[in-house]
Amino acid sequence: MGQEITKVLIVEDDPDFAESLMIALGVRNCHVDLARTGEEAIRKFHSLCYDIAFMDIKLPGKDGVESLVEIRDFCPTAHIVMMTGFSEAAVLDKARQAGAVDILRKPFRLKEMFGHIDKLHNEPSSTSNH
Amino acid sequence: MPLLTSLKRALTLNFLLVASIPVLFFGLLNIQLLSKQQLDGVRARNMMQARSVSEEVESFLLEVLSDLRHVQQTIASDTILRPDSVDDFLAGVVRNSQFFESIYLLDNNRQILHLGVLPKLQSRRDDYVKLDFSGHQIFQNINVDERPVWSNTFVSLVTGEPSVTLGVPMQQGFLLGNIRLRSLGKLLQRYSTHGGVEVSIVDDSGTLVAHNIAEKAMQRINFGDHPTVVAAMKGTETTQEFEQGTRHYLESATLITTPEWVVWVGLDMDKVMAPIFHMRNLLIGFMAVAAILASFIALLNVRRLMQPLNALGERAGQIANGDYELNLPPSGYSEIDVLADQITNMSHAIKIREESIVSNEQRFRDLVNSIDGIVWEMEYPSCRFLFVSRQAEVMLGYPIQDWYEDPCFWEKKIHPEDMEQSRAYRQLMSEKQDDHDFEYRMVAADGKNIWVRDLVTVVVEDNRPVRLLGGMIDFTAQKELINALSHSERNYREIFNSTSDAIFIHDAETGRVIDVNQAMLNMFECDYEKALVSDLGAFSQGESPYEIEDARLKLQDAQEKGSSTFEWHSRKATGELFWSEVNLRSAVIGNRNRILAAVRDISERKKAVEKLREVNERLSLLINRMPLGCILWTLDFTVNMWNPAAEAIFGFSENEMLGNSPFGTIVPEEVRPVVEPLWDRMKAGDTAAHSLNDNVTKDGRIITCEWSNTPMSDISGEIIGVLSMVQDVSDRKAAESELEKYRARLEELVTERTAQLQAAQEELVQKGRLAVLGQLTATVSHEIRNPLGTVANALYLLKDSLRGEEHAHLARPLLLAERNVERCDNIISDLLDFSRQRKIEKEFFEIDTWFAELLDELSFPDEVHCHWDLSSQATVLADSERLRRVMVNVITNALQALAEKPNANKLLDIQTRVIDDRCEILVRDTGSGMSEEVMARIFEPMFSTKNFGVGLGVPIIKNIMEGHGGGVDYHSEPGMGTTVVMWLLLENDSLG
Repeated sequence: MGQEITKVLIVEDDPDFAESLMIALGVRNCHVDLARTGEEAIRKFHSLCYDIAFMDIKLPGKDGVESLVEIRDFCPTAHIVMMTGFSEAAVLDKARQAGAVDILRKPFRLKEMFGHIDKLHNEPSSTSNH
Repeated sequence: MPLLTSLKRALTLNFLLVASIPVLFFGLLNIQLLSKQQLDGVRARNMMQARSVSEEVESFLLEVLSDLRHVQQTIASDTILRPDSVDDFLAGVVRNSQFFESIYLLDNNRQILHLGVLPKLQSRRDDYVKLDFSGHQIFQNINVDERPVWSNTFVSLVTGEPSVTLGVPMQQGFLLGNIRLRSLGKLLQRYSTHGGVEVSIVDDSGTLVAHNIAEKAMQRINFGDHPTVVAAMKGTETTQEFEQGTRHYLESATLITTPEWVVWVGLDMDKVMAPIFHMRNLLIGFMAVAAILASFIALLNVRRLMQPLNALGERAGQIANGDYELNLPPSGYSEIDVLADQITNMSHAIKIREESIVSNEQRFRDLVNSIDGIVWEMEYPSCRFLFVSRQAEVMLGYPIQDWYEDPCFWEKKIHPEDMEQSRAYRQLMSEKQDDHDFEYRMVAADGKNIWVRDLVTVVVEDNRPVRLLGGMIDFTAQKELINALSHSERNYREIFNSTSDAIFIHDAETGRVIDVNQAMLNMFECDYEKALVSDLGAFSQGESPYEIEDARLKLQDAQEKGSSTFEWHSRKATGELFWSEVNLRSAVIGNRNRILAAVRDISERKKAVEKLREVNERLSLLINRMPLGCILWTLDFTVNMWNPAAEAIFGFSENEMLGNSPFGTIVPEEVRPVVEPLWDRMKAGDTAAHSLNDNVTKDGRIITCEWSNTPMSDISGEIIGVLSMVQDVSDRKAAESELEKYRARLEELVTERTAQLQAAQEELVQKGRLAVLGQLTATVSHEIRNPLGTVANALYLLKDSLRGEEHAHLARPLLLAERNVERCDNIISDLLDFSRQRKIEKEFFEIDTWFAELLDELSFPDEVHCHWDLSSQATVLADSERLRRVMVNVITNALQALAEKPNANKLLDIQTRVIDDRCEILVRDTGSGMSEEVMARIFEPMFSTKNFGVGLGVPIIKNIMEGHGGGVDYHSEPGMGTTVVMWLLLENDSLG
């Protein structure tokens, strides 16, 4: 699993939380980029094809679900996991319908996050090319 | 009789015997011819013999005469003899002669002068001297000339033998010689008597002179009765048969000229013909024997043959009668036995074939009779039925017997209108020897007309039609169907043309117009020919979405779905546009897929709809703005219309109320008995069924409303609903009624009400508090969870990097840090759960299975004895996520209670069960239990006896259970444990 460098995008406006995730993923031999807003995430997705993204739902400007929809629009195979502190069930349903791979409820265990990255290597077909 | 054991041999023998009879007969005939020839020969021979004898006799007599002449000449010469020696001379002549007995020399006086006699008579010589012979018979015949004279024959007294006297005249006397005819007899004796031949010499008087049979010569037999002798004397030689006594002669006679004697030769026919007769008799005998034997054998054969032949005949008769099981006794003839065996074999074969024929015939008969039609055979030209199948009786009702007995049955039963034509046609086709089929009506026994199709085969023999074979099929139903079809075709055409809708018939594949009706021509102002050659575009507006391609898609769609209805912007032939409603329907017409398009001009309707819409808008504005609640009920007492004023009164939105009954929403159960009779009156059309009654709002308030109800009817006067105007008169009414009703116990009521109000107010306050809390929690949880997440991640990384013995002392603090992050999160979750009214999303599931899976996921401490009894078998309607939350809370509390009670028997008992209409879930622990004081406050939010937790666990349980329409009960005793009973109402259809 350590052989291949996984390209990960963290979309999170809380700098501490984001940093803690980046540190954790850095340790896991991942290339990690950070976007603080939805717009930035979209931009970054345009420029680089990430293997996986972890995106907060509550973001300044375009929220996570809107961004997800937009990204999936031009990159239908994008592998995006949503993160949330608290959201209405309707918002979560919308995220699932828009193609979110999973929804992690903060504070989640890092193991859950790593699980998603490990799963990428086990099923390499879904995200590598588009 | 081994010779006759074979019929062949017996018949051959018989034949040979019969065949021999003609052979024998011809032999007999031959012999008869032979005997006749032989007889002729015998006759000739006999005559020849007579002549020969005659010549010999004649020569003998001439020899005698010559001897006597010699004597005469000797005497007459005188020179030779001396007169005294004449006697001696004569005696010497007699002595030396064979024939002379004596010779006398007579003088002219006819007295003996000299004589010579036989020596033995010398002694008697003197007796004759001087004997006068003048009276002798001989002299009567003496002539003057010197011709010798023969006397009649006589029997000599001296010799006793037949004799004759020959006289020769001399100059001086007469010379007489007595001749012994015995020598003549000796001459004749040369003709043997062998062969039955008799030869006789008869003198002119018919007396026998000599005979070849010595005995007969001595008898003076007279032959005067023999016709041949008589004829011979007259100078005619004859031969003929003659019967004398028992003897049968063939006799011939001829005359000796001198002395006119007759030679007679007789042949004994019996002796001469004996061999031939023998032969003939033998043949006759053979013939007779052959005939008798042949007859006998034939009779025997007939007798012996007839018995087995009769038996065979009888047998054949029995076979003919169908009796095949017979055995024939041996007949005695191998051929007949073989024949009998073969007949036996044949009878077995016939039996088998007959059985086969019978079964085949039965099968054929069944087949013929099972044919749903009359199979018949008819003699032609008499038209008499030879065979009619049983179906005839079923089809036409006449007994089968009638068909056979009435020679004109067929013609009689044809419908009078069809009779002439059918008969003529049958005759024409039969004479042409053509098979034919034709249709006509027959009149059944019950008088009904049956349409018959008659298929006829003409059987021709010797180039003439002799029989007709046929089958009649009842096709009345088809005929009626055809009539009905043609009738319906006319009807269809009429309907097709009389409908006011324009109808197109399209080909389903190409969309081509196949047919249109009159209404189409009128509606599109088009002529028929043009309609058929125009494409769909010609009848469409022409701009999307009313182009030809759209029209084609509509046709395809209709073909796939079966039918479709839509509005279409159509174009007339004149170019004028109009709105139409098109109904497409796919149909199979004449095995082809067609699309039927019914086009209705809806220009007018469109306008009307527009107008209606305007009216509706105005009306709805009115209804929406009016201050009175305006509710329209359908006949099944559900809401059809609900205006904003009604929403304002009851709190329910239009969406919530549409389709719902007032019961369970705005009419409390206790008011139902008042409302129901009112509703019945309204439905019956009572316009005065107004009422004033209590209602309940969405938030549970009881209000008093004044209802003004008007039944609504359609054009036909039928009630289709009820319009209610409602006004909340709670304030006024409540005040009035309270005042009226409870004036007497005003104080009490006020107190009670106050208490109620206080409780309500408390609840309201609490609810208000919770609402604020909810808002706050929702906002805060976002903000808190990020830091919590950061801390959790940092802890994870720390933990990950601080592995190893040297960092063991840090493990506990890290664990505590992690646990408390979790606690914070749980607090947030509980707060969110409690403060926010989450919508309950119910679904049906089996509570036992669900619970078992849940329990599997949870972990239980080893010291706790768990016991599950999940046997309710109930299916509940609930939000499984929320219910899960309840169960986790209850079980967590139970486990904590158990953990608080050290060193005790720790038992956790979980049970599901159904009691009446409730599904109950029991969670019982033998933990620390709760005091009454604690029990009284457990449902209070933020009440907690624990060090951890915000005290929302039990209130959440209560909220969720009540949100499901169920509830929760706690039973507890300090030190003994707690039992939590949660229950859900079972839906009617979820039992079991």
